[in-house]
Amino acid sequence: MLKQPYHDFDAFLKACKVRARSRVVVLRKAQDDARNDFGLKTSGEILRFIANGGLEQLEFINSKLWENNPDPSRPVIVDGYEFVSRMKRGYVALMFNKVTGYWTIKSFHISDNANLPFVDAFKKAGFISGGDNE
Amino acid sequence: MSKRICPVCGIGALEKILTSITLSDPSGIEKTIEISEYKCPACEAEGDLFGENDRVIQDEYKKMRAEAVASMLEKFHSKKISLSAAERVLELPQRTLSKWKNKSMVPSASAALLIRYVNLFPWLLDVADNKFNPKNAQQIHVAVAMRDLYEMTKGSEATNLEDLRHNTMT
Repeated sequence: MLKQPYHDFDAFLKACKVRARSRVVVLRKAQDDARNDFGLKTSGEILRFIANGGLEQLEFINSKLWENNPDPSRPVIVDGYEFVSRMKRGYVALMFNKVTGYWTIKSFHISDNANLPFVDAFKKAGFISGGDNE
Repeated sequence: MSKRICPVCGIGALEKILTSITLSDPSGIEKTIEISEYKCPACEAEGDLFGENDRVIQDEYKKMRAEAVASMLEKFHSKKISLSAAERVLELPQRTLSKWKNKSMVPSASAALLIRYVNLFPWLLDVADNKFNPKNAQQIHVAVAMRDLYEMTKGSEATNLEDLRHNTMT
């Protein structure tokens, strides 16, 4: 588990800003969750939300190997972040595949650590690390 | 089978699949629509990977929004809200609300939002009628809140008294 994000988040933001021929893919589960949890109805809305600074108080959580990678000889890393939007705390997981040149939004949902102030306090005190978001 | 290669893993040849998604509106209206998506047999990535359904989904939401607004405006009559008075107060051209009600005109997202707020908090019309004067707005808000609180407390007191009486007798 890395302590720093593996991917350049600014490069991801830049990719989200590109409207035509977008190089950002949103997986079905992430899209469904974004729709239900945050009212972001389409993949376009998700990308515009991100591009316009919608992921506030962004906090890196962890990096993991992409479990479904069919070619383990070329590892793909997934970066997980928590963010805040109004009263909601969300979790977003993204990865970049160097082979395809595409970013993938793997998760976009309410954080499992949402509305648990004591979890925040424990995290800040260093007693626990990232959450169980997937 | 599509010849497109999966943008997620770069290995699998994408398959086109038909799937259904359920869209819901805050008013409670739900609609299930069928869309075509992609699935990668190699990495199991699934979804509208190229944003091809965005337009279809947006159009469905637009229809649901029109239905929701029409249904809310139907209820204005029972809430004793006159459409022409509401149009005057909200500075909308006359007959706008009627056109939304009979679906001859589709309200924009922001217009629908306005109707949702007025439907939920009809006293916002009084605030608008007072030209959004902050002091008047606060008075209206507090008066409505106190009335609602009184109604809520009246109900719960009665229930509590009944409970108390029941507990004492048994």
